[in-house]
Amino acid sequence: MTDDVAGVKEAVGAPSQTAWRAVGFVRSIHRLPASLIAGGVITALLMLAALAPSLLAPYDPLTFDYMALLQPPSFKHPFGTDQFGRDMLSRTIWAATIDAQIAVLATLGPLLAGSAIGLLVGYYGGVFDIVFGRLVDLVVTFPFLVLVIAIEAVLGPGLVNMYIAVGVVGWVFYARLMRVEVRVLRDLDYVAAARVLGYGDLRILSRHILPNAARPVFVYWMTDMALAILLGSSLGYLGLGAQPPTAEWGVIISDAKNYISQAWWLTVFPGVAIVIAGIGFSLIGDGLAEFLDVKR
Amino acid sequence: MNLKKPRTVAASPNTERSGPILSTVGLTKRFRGRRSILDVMTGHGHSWMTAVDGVNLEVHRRETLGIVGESGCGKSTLARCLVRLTVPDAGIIRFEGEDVLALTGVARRAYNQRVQMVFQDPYGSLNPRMRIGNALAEALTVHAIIAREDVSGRVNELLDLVHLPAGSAERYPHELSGGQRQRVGIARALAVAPAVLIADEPVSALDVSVQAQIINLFLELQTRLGLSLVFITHDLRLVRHIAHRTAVMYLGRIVEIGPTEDLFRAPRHPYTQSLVKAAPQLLIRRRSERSRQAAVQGELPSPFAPPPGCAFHPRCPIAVERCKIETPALSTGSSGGDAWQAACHLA
Amino acid sequence: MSAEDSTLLDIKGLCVSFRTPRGELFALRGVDLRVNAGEILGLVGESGSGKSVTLRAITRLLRANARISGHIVWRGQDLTVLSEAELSTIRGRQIATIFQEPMTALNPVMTIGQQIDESLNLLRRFDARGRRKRALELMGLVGIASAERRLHSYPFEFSGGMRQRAMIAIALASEPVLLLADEPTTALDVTIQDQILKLLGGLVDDLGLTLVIVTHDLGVVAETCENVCVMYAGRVVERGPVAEVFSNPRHAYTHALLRSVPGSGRARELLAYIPGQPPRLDSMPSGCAFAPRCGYCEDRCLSESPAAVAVSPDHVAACFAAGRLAEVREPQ
Repeated sequence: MTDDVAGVKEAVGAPSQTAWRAVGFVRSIHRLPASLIAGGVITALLMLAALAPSLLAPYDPLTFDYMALLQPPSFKHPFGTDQFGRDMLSRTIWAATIDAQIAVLATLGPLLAGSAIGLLVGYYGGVFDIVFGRLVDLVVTFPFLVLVIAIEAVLGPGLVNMYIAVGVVGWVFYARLMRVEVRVLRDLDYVAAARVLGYGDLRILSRHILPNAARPVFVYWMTDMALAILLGSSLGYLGLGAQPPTAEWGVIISDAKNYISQAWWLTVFPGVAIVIAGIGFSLIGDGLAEFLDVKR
Repeated sequence: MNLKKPRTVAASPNTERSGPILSTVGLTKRFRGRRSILDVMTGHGHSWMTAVDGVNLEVHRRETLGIVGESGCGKSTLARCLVRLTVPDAGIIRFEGEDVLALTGVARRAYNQRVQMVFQDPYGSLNPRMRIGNALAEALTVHAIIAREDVSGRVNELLDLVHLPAGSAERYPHELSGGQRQRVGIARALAVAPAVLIADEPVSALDVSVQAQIINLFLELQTRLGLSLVFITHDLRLVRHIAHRTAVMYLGRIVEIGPTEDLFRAPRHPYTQSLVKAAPQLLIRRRSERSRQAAVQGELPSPFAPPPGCAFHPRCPIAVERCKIETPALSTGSSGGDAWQAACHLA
Repeated sequence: MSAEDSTLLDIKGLCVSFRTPRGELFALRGVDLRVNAGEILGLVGESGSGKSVTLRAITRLLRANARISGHIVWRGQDLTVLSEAELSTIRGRQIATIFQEPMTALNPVMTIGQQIDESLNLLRRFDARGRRKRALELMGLVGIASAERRLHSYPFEFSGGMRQRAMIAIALASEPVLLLADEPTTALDVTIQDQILKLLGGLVDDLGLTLVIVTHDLGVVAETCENVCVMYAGRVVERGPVAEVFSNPRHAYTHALLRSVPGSGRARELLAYIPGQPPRLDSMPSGCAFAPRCGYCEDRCLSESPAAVAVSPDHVAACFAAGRLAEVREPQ
């Protein structure tokens, strides 16, 4: 290793005492990547809308107002109204609950199951690894959306079935990622040391391998949540996700498809909401990757 | 074997039990090579390499046994077999007379307590997400060596044993230097109070000025704790300094083993002779006096295609016909007694 | 014989810094050294000493965030003021470099023959047939057997030692005057290391090359080099003929280093180690960089940086304890 690399690398890992560490922590907040901060703000807003929509929404989303049908955006209705006179802003905010739910529920199952499987396959290898490899090949051959739709076609439409369909296919990506990390870690000296010290496999997996393998998987999860929202909205638009009258951004857009030429605000604002939510999660994912990399 | 064995106090030189503390007979480990698609299609079998080939070794109590060799000689694989990280294909390993490979369950765990390992890479040998103190405490609690309330005290004792400040327990590995990390690795291995410590190139990745500190630590620990030490390295100057006996390995076999000073002063095996000649010494020679002749010609053969007979014969300056056919066994010479053996037809 | 005439490379006050998120880090803090024609010079030091950076600074092979100041005078020309285009006529042609890791220094998708050819092309002297003939000659010179066949081999087909020989062949193809070797044998086995070092020594004798070897191994320096520069924390702390510096070190660091290496005392005795570790680039002590670890440290060492003093015509040391060290004679 050249001196400059070694020297700078040594410099980056400066020794710290307690006081230094406190100062370092405060400084490090300022040093957080901009993407992490931006993404954090957006996602926080989304979560607020999802958890406490009544705080943000000016109107009840379900109230019909026959005096204000298909109104364009105005001070009274910043996002306009739909064909039943419902305030679009409120509808969009209330729909955030469903979409946020989709982001979490559609990814949590694959995250947990995929990580567990990837962990075991990566650590033990052998025949499991071969079977797993073929399974992965099978799944990634097909476009993700096509597979999900195919499964839902069998199960029937609806949010729950969508979660099942995504779960059946989506775990593969987490497992693949986790397996790669575990494979690398498995050969490191500190894992060998743990085995020589007589630690059981469970301890090694949970305390020595998982904490170090989790980072890239966690970062991927953030990005996956963005994709889940897009997926959920797309399926909602197709009628395969959330079913009307449930307010979900994709469903809202679908409802409005007959009015696109007359009332652009019906589709644009929910669409923008989808995009911004997706960007929020993506930014967190990027920012986390950058932030965690520096620490490493 | 008793799990709750108290820490061994440094034995006085007179308390000796007979027999080596750790020994192997015919230890063999093979690895499979990769096959390319072409090989699979043409029906070629896997190629095999024998990393450790029928090694007989003895480690005596309170001695340091040095194992030297170059790439592919199998010293690291041998080390991993001794701690049961790798399961050998053939051969016996005995610890205090008992067959180690036959152990299961609790007894096998107990073996891990008695024979420990220190690794080469200080940057990879510690869990980056675990504080030093926790890593040491883990070793103590897993084997239930001491009561829970005594653990932190013992951790401080261990840190003191390797001359690290008590505050290090709170640190993460990336806050320590290479030399400090290596000390932690040693402390972790010592936490379970082993009788044998196997060190696989423990100072190779450290700065020269730091190496001396760690070498001194090993020397000190050996005297203080009565450890038996197996020291694996490629650095001949180092092994000459630290080992009582030295074994030289080439392509999976021990080609010479004997008392260190004798072995280095008058090596019997031609490979040992080349090794000693090739190793750079701090001996200054005038340019006009310098030899242009390398100590040994040729390349190290691939372990997948070892030469027949004596593996060293293609590079050996004194090889004869017999060397190409018959693999020499370790044998004692006319002098040197039982302790000094070389595997050469002509030694 | 005028010393001035035969000085090929004269480095004065060389400072190299890197702009990093943590500020400007100085890898070299004023390096002075001289390379004479036909000599073998060893640059020895540990991590943070700056030995590799020095080598790369000569041919400006540093990262984009590096800043160089000082003078690197090559045959009367200051390399630091040359443009990239001008420098590239010298780099690879008059000054060639070989590196530590042949696997990463050789292009993996080009055959050895192609890489030697590329280097030969710089000479613009041979036609295709002449180049092939010369390539075979070069491979013979560096001891690669079956050269005809090996011309078409890729680096991954070679062993470590062979790759290093190939790299030397490529370096020699352009008929350089100076060969810089950055830890050329550190990654090799002992017997192969010996072969490569003997090869390099032979080439210096036969081709009249000048060789600068960067290494951390004092034994390599003792056996191969005539002169040595000992570096610590970005400076040259001592330089002179190997025989003199190693038998009569006049810098506390050199002195301590030589005593801490195994083999300098009796077997299984505790080594005279140097406490602490080399300083980090971002926490360089004021005064002498070695002072915190030095057994001969005086008060002024902590605040003043010692200047280089000639303790004999060719032997220079930058240490306040140079005089005291002359009294100390270790039994060799």
